[in-house]
Amino acid sequence: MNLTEKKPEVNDAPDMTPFIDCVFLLIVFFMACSRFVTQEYESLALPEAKSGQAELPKKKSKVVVNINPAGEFVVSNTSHTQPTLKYLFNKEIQRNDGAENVIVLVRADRESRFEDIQRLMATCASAGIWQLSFAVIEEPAP
Amino acid sequence: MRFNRPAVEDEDDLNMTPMIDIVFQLLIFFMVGTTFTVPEKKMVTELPKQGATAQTVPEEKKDIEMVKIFLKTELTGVQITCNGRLLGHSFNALGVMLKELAEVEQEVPVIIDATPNTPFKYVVRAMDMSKRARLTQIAFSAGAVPENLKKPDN
Repeated sequence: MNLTEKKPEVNDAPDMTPFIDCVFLLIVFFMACSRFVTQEYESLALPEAKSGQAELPKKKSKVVVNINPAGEFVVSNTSHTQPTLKYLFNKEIQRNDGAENVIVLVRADRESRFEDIQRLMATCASAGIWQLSFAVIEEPAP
Repeated sequence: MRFNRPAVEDEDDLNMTPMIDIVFQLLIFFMVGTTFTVPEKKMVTELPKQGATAQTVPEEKKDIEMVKIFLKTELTGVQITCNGRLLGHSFNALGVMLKELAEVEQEVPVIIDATPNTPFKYVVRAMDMSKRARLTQIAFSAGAVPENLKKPDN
């Protein structure tokens, strides 16, 4: 009687399944994230400036308002009028315990008219928001 | 003589080729799909707070009360006026004038006004020139507030 135990066959090949799972999870995660980021930003030709700063003041809730050349206000892919924009601002102020914690980032096309910017500023002022920031791109060196 | 020949290892080796293929495919997919965007910068400004009164500085302390920049859009371009002085189409002339004014009075507020049809790029240009001259108190002339926004929210 042969009582010597048979050695279990050890599979030397590493199991790739968890690795592939992780890779796919990462891909799905980054794809989902990138979509969220681009939703707020419309494709616009921003004006150029040299004195722009890289970051907004910290600890502020940011509302991104895009203004296209036609003068439309677009927030998160939705077109807004002045009253609906004011409602949105008021909700943001309530959520952040006051207008001092809210900043409006204006992404206006370089060809949009000054009166559209004034309309937005009037809406911000009527909602009680006084902190405004204009998105620009770095002016290329001559 | 007995030679212990090692067993031929052909089954246990993991074939990495398909995985590398997939990785390269994904890499190319993301490289093509990525749109390279120019990093955006921000120009922070403040609107007058509600209920705030205008800050008045005693006359004797100020050489210049304020700097008023007016942009008028014409067929040929934008006409710049700074404190009543006509500067033509040159933003560089505006920059020079603002620097001169900043040397006299650093804390002077700048008020930018423009005709309604002025493209925003010129307004930003005027704002940029002010900031570069270290005049940081920039305000915009207020547009008319529509009737439907004047009503209280309650």
